[in-house]
Amino acid sequence: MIKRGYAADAGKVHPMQALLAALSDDLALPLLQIKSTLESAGSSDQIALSVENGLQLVEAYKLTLRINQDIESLTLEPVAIGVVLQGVAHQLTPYAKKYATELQVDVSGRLTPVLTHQPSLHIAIQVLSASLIRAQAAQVQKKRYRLLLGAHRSSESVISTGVFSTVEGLSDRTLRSARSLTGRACQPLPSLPPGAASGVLIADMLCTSMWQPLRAAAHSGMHGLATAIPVSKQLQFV
Amino acid sequence: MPQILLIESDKLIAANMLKVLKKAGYKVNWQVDPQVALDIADTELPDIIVIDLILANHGGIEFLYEFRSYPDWQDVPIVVFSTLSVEELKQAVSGFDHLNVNAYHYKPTTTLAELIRAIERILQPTAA
Repeated sequence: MIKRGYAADAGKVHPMQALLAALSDDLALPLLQIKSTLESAGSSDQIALSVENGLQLVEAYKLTLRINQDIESLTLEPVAIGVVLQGVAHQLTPYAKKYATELQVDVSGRLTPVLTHQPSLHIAIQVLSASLIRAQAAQVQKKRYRLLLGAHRSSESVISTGVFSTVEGLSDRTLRSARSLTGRACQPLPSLPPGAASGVLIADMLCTSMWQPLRAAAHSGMHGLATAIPVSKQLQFV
Repeated sequence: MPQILLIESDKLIAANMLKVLKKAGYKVNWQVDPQVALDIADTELPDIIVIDLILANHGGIEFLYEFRSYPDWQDVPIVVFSTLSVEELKQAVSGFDHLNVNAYHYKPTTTLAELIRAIERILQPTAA
């Protein structure tokens, strides 16, 4: 029998965490069933996009668990931020269209590659974007929305990257409060609609595991959440 | 018509896989029990095996170790289509590389169309 990593190390894991890990596995199954049913029926139904998004969220949670338990090593390597942001935008475009949201990637200037764990950064930006797509459409009723995946140099050796929108109520204070309320309150981020907070919190955990937690930030006149990543020193010498 | 031995524990997912694989022109024999699948492989000589690694009772890994231990099954292509990620697999199992698995697809991020393309590439390498 193959044991899941977190099950094998269950002695080190908080019982609630182990329970959530098992729950995420079990939750993934019905989503997989729906996904394969829709595909086998040749359906391009928008439900498929929602299911895909749910699965991505479960995957992001499982990645966070694996990193926290040192099952997946955080191998830091030089990564071009623009490539990650373009990849996420490409992946999320069908989902964003469902919410009448246009995704834009804005990388200011030529940015040196950063030193990060590429899968974690990709998933963090992905789940954060999906959450903000839903939150933005739930907060204000408009015909069209815009979501910006941006990056800019914030100091000589640090690049700030994140997701920016018109979502209200995301400040450093509300994030601090949400971190302490996670697992104890139904809506740790009160300004976000139900189902949108976990993406923000998972992205925050992944960013914390790599370098720094999410912080409130602004980019090209929009506000949102971003993390700071050091540039790759290896490539500075090239 | 190429024959696939499908080892998948979830009935609903298996039914959907059967539907698309048959539509793609394959004859599919679906089994939930790897032990029974070994007997089936002995009598029906599949062209390719598609297997999940998380199964009820016996695990998919045990099946693969036993399957590859027989000299006449060394070259039968195997496609893993699993809910177990590669990272989790590496953590749980050593020596997986020696099992000569032709393709590894992670279920949550692989569509059935991608799975079929992978099977086609393996069975008809020149046509792909």
